[in-house]
Amino acid sequence: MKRVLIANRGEIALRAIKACRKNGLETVAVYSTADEASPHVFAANKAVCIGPAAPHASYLSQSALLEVAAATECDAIYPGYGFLAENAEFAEACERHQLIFIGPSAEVIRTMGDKATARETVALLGVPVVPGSPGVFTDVAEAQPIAEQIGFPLLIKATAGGGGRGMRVARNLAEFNSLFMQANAEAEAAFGNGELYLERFFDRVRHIEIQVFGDSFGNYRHLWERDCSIQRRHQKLIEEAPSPVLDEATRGRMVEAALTIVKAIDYQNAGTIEFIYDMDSAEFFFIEMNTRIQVEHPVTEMLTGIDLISEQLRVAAGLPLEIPKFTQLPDGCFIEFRICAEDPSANFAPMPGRVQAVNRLSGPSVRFDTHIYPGYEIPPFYDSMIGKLIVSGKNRTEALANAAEALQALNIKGIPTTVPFHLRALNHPQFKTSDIHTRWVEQELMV
Amino acid sequence: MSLTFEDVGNLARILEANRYGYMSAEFGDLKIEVEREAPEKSTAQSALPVRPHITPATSSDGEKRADTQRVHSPAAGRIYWENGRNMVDSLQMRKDTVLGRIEAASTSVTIIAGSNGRVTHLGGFDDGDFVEYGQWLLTIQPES
Repeated sequence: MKRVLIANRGEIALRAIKACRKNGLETVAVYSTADEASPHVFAANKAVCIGPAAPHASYLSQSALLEVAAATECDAIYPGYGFLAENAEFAEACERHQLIFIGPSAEVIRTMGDKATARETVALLGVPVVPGSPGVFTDVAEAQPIAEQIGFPLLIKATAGGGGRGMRVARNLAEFNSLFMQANAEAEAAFGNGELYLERFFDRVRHIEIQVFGDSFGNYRHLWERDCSIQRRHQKLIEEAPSPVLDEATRGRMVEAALTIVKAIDYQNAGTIEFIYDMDSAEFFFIEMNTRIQVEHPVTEMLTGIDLISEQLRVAAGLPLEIPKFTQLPDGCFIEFRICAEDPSANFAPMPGRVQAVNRLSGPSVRFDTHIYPGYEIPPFYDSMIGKLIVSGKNRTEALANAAEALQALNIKGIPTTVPFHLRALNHPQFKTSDIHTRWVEQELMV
Repeated sequence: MSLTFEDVGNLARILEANRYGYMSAEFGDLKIEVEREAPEKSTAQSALPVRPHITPATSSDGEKRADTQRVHSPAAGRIYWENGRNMVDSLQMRKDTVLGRIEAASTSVTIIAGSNGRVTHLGGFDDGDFVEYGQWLLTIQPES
């Protein structure tokens, strides 16, 4: 592997270029016309304009990416996260064009990308999955006995659903029938498909995920967990490692479950096994696997001291992992705050615009991964995340104090950002004691 | 009024730093017009590391020079001219004439003349050369 095409933009493109440089690899950046002044264009050894601003015509254009890779004599493609990172068809196309896709195989992406298949695969391994119906229903009479078996509260979900449509929470059998019929009618109207499935509903759960890695030598590793329970509408906002609520025994079981999955599917490269953790029963359940690097990978890098992007490059190049078998949780607490060009006071509306100045703290306890600079014009076409502020401390109390200092010092002029939201969360007594769950932002903080 | 070597360098730098392919400036009776040349014949074939950023020509200058029409690459890929490399200066063409196509992996995008006219300038791309999205391919002088 000598030259890598970076099929992404923003901070992850810069992060990947940095890792390639560290590993002696040349890079080719691609960019849309909206990103002509983006730093990844200048950081790479070469940059090629692949299309107009619209993602489907640029960063999602498989044909353009493959052609650029061939024309610039790249031998590998780094997908990052988002865009084509979990697209099995693209991974396959790379293979057909004799290009290394820096990620798992197309087959694994396909298996774990399909939620139903992933759930079946994982359940067969004895890893707990959220109790749910074995099939789908349109008839309430057929669904009712299954609902009773699963137990209440129960989530009724449209198979073709999204954005909360065709979704209801039934607290007991008495209200199940009418809610089922409402969801069925809503799903039929919204998606042309009224099929529903049933899942046990948890009121107060945390989102905890295990970072995993595998290589072609049969080495499988975990890099402990990240607690990503601070979310808004299923979008992660703050991530933390290690989780402040897991005891040693539960952590051990969760890590073992994650390793069981990656071994069973012979997983290669970086991945994340996501669980929900029910604080009341101390049970955890598999929800899905992400077959790529995650936005929040820096907290794991800071916890373990491992450069995850470099490990991705090593595995793709056919080299063995350099990740040790962790048995003892490393010391310290690491928290990441996603900084987005959004206005928290306007329902987190995206606010693209020109960055006038960026002032921030630097030092051993602060890391800021970003692609913005004074004068940078944030385009309206892509994700609004403009940076990730990661802080550390010897313990959680120190990390929170460092976070407050770093967030107060982070001054991005010219556009609204989510910094005030993070400060508000940080000052909340329930955040300080980590008495939070995945719906805490909507139920407590934003009320 | 005369220009020093440094003046020319400064003008080139200004042009290099902006997104336009054409610049015109007047100093008294001196008028300077600077036009960006076609990029390297094939950026793809140049050895790395190279100048990382090649700004695609845009049609913005077309507004300034309403008498000509610049045709830019509609996609990133390999260019194939409709009549080989016989697309020569002064070639007359009709509106909607297919000039060539850009091929990328399994896709193909057609390059079409926007008006009746005559080719006045040609970029340096041969059949099979790699072009970026938005790169200047040729200029047409529309029929008046």
